[in-house]
Amino acid sequence: MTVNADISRTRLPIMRVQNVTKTFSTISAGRRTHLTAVDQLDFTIAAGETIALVGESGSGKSTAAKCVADLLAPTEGTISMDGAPTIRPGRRARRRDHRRVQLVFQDPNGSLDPRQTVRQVLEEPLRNFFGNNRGELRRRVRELLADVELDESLLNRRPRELSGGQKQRLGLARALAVEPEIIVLDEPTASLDVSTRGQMLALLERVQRHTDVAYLLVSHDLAVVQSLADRVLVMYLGSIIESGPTDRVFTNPQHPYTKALIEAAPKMEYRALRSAWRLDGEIPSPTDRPSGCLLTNRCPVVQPDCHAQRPPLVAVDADHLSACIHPELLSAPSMDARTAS
Amino acid sequence: MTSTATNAVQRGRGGIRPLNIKPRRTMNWTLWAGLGLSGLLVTVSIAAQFWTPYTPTKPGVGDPLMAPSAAHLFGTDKVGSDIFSKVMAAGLTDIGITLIGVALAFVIGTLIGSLTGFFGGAVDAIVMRGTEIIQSFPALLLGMLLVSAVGGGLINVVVVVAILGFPGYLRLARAEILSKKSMEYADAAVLMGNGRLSVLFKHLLPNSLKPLVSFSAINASWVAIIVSSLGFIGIGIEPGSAEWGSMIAAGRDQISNWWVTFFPGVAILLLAMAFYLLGDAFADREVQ
Repeated sequence: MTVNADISRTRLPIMRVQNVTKTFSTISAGRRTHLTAVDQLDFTIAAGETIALVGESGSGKSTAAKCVADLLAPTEGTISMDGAPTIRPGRRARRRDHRRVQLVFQDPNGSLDPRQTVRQVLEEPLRNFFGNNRGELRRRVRELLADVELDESLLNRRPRELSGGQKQRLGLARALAVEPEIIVLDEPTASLDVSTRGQMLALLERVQRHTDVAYLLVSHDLAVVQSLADRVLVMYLGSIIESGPTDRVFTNPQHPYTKALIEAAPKMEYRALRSAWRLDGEIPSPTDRPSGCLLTNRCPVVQPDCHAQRPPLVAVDADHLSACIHPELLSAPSMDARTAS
Repeated sequence: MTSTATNAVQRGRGGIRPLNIKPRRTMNWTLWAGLGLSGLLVTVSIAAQFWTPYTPTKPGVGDPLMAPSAAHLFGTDKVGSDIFSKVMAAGLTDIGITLIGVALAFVIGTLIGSLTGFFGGAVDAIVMRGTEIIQSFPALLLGMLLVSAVGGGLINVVVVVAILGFPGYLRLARAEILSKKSMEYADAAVLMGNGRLSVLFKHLLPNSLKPLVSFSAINASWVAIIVSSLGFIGIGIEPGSAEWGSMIAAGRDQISNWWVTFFPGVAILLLAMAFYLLGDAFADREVQ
């Protein structure tokens, strides 16, 4: 999480996401329109690290997560692991890839088959990927339960007989069953009470220390992101508009959107809630993205030249990138004046 | 049961409901009435294969057209057969055809419907148009056409009943699978290394069976009436055999001798009612 930790992770990336674009075509008012959910996504994931995709709803982060987990095929671009594309023809190949990338779903109610018991949930992936040895299955199921701190007395329960926290742990255990290299965490704590949220985060950290699994964390909860992620990718309307090490992005945001996102997070001090760095209006429709900077219609410091063209991601300093052509306005005195008023 | 236990609340897709209270108990009389009635009908029909007061199809066990009496509870028909024995014996034919026909329709319709719903595409569209064509005919008319095309007889009637019934199961199964397909546990099943067919048959279909089961019970009451209607028209089972519909047909010209048509009619009514009650009870349980 610190700069030091970042330097120690100089390992080669295990997954490379290159120019991934996902468009959907929809029919609205009788006309076929194209919806760009994810636009030219580009990042890498190394073993044992946690990358967070943050953004408000509609930013394309869930679509990106599904592409990474190979549940959606990108329209353009490639996702490769160790140099080989993840999507290959044939069922066997797809199975192997699912073994490498798993996903913990946001909604533990909808993602567990209501008819399966805890034991069946955990045995299924073990059977499919590792075979049918009964003794081995039992041992692994018990191990997995211990890994996520679930009691063995729950083995014959069905999802409706479990608490929200227990269900989410079961979702994590199921993902861990196949010993994946990457786990996509889709809003892992969104469905949990505050009291169980902290336990879940601590569990995720512990699991990562033991297994060296990489996390792709998808969340709009900045507190969760801050406590888990090594690097942050801020998404807006399908594009990454800022990326960098978590602490640097949070303490020194270089994009008006990121700054607004951070300041919009509820804080203890009441004053912070009245920040001028507030985005007015709604996120535009992904069927009709602005041609210049994506934030032009909401940015508090928008300039005439912002409309000219889509700003590219440029390095602010080492591995901290931002897609804003006027970062100097982020700390402009006029803004401080607005904050004070 | 302490108040903490009974007030335990469960949150899930069904909304909020108490855990330990069984609210279905209030509606249970439909289930018990349905079970009791169908149990009685099945028991009597099977028992009739071993014992009836008189040989069911033998003419002249009494005088023709005797009114109900102690000797002939339901009276006799115009050739002097005992109607009570015949109603008993006919049960197995009507119930058997209905159950086998419904089972066939259930299996065929569910199988095709879940496959086309899951895979979609051109085949799905063609199959849906096909079911619409079948369903656009009045069932009895189509049944008559098919039976007169392939001829009567037990097996043919069963097959025709299955053809009439399967589009309903197909459409219901398809709709259920379509709604389950977008559930996250379908995605989760893919991630757990299941092929497409095992996602469908191990996860989606088992979660779709409840509405199909309650539909099949209600559907069975409809099938029972179709079966006896075909018998009544005289093109299903050979006329004169022990079948409720054809027994009513035999009494068509005996309006003044009401018992000839009345008792087989009551039998059909009870059978349809038994299935209907069961279906209603299943549907209630499903809602809860």
